[in-house]
Amino acid sequence: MNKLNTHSFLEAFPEEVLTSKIKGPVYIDDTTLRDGEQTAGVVFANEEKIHIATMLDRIGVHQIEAGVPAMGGDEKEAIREIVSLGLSASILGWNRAVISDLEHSLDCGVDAVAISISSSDIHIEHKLGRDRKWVIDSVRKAVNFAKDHELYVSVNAEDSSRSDPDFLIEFAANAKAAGADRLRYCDTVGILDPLGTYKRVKALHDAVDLDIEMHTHNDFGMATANAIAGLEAGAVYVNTTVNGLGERAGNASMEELVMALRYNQGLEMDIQTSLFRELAEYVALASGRSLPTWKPVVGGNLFVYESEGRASGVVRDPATYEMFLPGEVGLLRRFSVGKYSGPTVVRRKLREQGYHASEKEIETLVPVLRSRSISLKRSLFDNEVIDAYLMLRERK
Amino acid sequence: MNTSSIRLLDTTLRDGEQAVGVIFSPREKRQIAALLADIGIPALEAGFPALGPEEKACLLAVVEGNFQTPAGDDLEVYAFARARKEDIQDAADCQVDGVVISISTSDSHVERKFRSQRKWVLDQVREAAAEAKKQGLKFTVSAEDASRTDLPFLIEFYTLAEQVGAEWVRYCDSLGVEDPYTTYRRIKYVLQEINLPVEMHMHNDFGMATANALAGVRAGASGVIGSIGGIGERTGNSPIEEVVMALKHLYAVDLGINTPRFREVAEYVAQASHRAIPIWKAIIGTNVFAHESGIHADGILKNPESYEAFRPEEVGLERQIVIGKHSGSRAVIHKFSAEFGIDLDDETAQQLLTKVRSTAVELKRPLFTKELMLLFEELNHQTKAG
Repeated sequence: MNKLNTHSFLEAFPEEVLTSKIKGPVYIDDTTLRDGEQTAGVVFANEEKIHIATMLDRIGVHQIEAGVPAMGGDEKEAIREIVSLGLSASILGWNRAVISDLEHSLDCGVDAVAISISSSDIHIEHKLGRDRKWVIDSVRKAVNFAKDHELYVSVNAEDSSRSDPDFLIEFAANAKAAGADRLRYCDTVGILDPLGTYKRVKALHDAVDLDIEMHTHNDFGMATANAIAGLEAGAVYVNTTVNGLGERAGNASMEELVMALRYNQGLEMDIQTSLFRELAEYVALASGRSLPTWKPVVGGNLFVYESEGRASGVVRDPATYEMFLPGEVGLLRRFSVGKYSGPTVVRRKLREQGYHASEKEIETLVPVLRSRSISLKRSLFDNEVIDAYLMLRERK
Repeated sequence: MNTSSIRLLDTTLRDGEQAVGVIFSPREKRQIAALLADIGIPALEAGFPALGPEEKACLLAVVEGNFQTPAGDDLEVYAFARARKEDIQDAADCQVDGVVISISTSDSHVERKFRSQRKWVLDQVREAAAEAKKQGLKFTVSAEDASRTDLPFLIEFYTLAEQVGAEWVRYCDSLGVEDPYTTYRRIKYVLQEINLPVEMHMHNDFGMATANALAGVRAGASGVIGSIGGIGERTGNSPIEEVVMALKHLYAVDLGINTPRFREVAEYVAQASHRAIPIWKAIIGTNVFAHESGIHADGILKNPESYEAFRPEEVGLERQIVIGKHSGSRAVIHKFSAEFGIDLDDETAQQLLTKVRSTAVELKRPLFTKELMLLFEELNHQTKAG
């Protein structure tokens, strides 16, 4: 096995995955407040954490990973407050496979815990300086302790994707024997592709009867696709973050996952998607990371029409270029005049501003506006379009 | 399949520029083309000549650059055209090597956008192809909205492309609605039916553009279209840097691209398009090799492979250990010893860490090196005073 378990190009996708659809149910365990905050440079204020938790609950996620109680101080205080809100969602605290970490979780009153330890040899040998036996012992001890305290337990096999598959099965079987409720499959370094994910998770799922949760990273841009591949293979939980916030290139983003399940898989979840944009903006501000206008599902430019080809389609029928209506995720449809605009966009823009130009006027305006946009190297403001139109009328 | 024959085609200058608010000047288009050729990208789409004289000037600027890849091959320059005679003539005016003849093939587009029928679509392609041949241009026939097109009609369309002399056919997931399995299944089917090479043009609406492009390649497609940073309509296209790095590291297929210059090229495109590169952007974001949390930083210091799939230098980035709320004492000790030449004992490191955490929480951000030093001095002062 090489370093990254390189996937073979020649291998065919198994027939069952090509034809099946995810039946569900699928549960979201959102980790914006834990993996999201762990991102280098991101710190949420406690007040922000509480607001984000409240929003996540309102949106309808199944579980909220609220933080790392063992950090103590403010972090612990925030988790305690989130627990005290009495939300419908389960509240989970993240722990290393260490009893003292779990004691901090108990202090916070969470109903669920993640117990995390690396399962790959590269982590066990280089990071932990231990062996596999020590890892299994640590898992068993920690799970036993948590179950003695009646906590719901998700055991995280950190770096699952680079772990020896046989050891991962042993790891999962031991976690189950100790009473764990689920196993979090972590593609910690973000090196899986969908087929690789499917095969690995399927093998684990077939070997051990334990709920599986997908935790994927976006290092090669495939976090969402890999999370879905895990669900195809039998996983039922997904660990997401708002906007895909998370270590390095981030995690599977909640809004992408929910919408992809709805539109690629036809799987309906009880999630209030119309709040997506609002939550995305909130998390963007609180994390100090502005939301790119092109972010899938929630980006501000997704329903802005500038090029004539798309605009002419969408005014005839939105279904020509939209898989879902903008309101479904809390966005709006807009038209913008720029280099690629033609008569449809200009006509639309003027009408929207209360001007009814003749076709002849529009024909004259289009090249003028295009040239202006090109020389300014940007789209035009509505008032620039109106002024150009008024000037044209005056000149007559 | 001969994986080394995968052809990358960059569309930063065409689909990239079609992103709302993005406009490149002729000079910028020429510079971007030069950079792409320099790092080894063999082909690109330089623009859409039918837009008018300004755009034609852009394409001419690219063509006149006569760029070559490091291997000594001429950069192939394509123009984008609708399946119309006039658009092909506009392309020919720009002296490009080839033209992409594009038309929608889905019933949704044919019936509701064009208010026409399939037969008309085929006629348009025939006419445009004849014009391209007359002009001496090689051409690709592109099925817009291919992913929502009825498969038998898509085959009919691609078969016609083959008959009229296309070099390539293009499969567009124009709305970005596919998942890797659907892509794989459809491309497999297409390749059983036609003999032309297929290139993948995928959009990122559900965050799967890269995964889908690669699924297409696994099914036998021999071309991938990407753009720098994934710039393109709406959510953009498959980022070419993700495709290249995934091929290299996940599938051991090295296309020979000069990846250490990815960051530099991405910065140029970011400036020219007024779109900052998000710090968390996969492959090229500055935060991708920044580690703050205690566990990760500790792992990285012991062995970078613990949390990195490849070395930062490979894409022109640097590794950073950020000191903030989630830092552990190992990272603090390392920072002081490596950067300031100060060896902290465990107790001092712990005390300092407590101060670091509360300061980072108060400021809602990690600490600058100077702030770290100030905290250290404060601590020393207190210890002495105490």
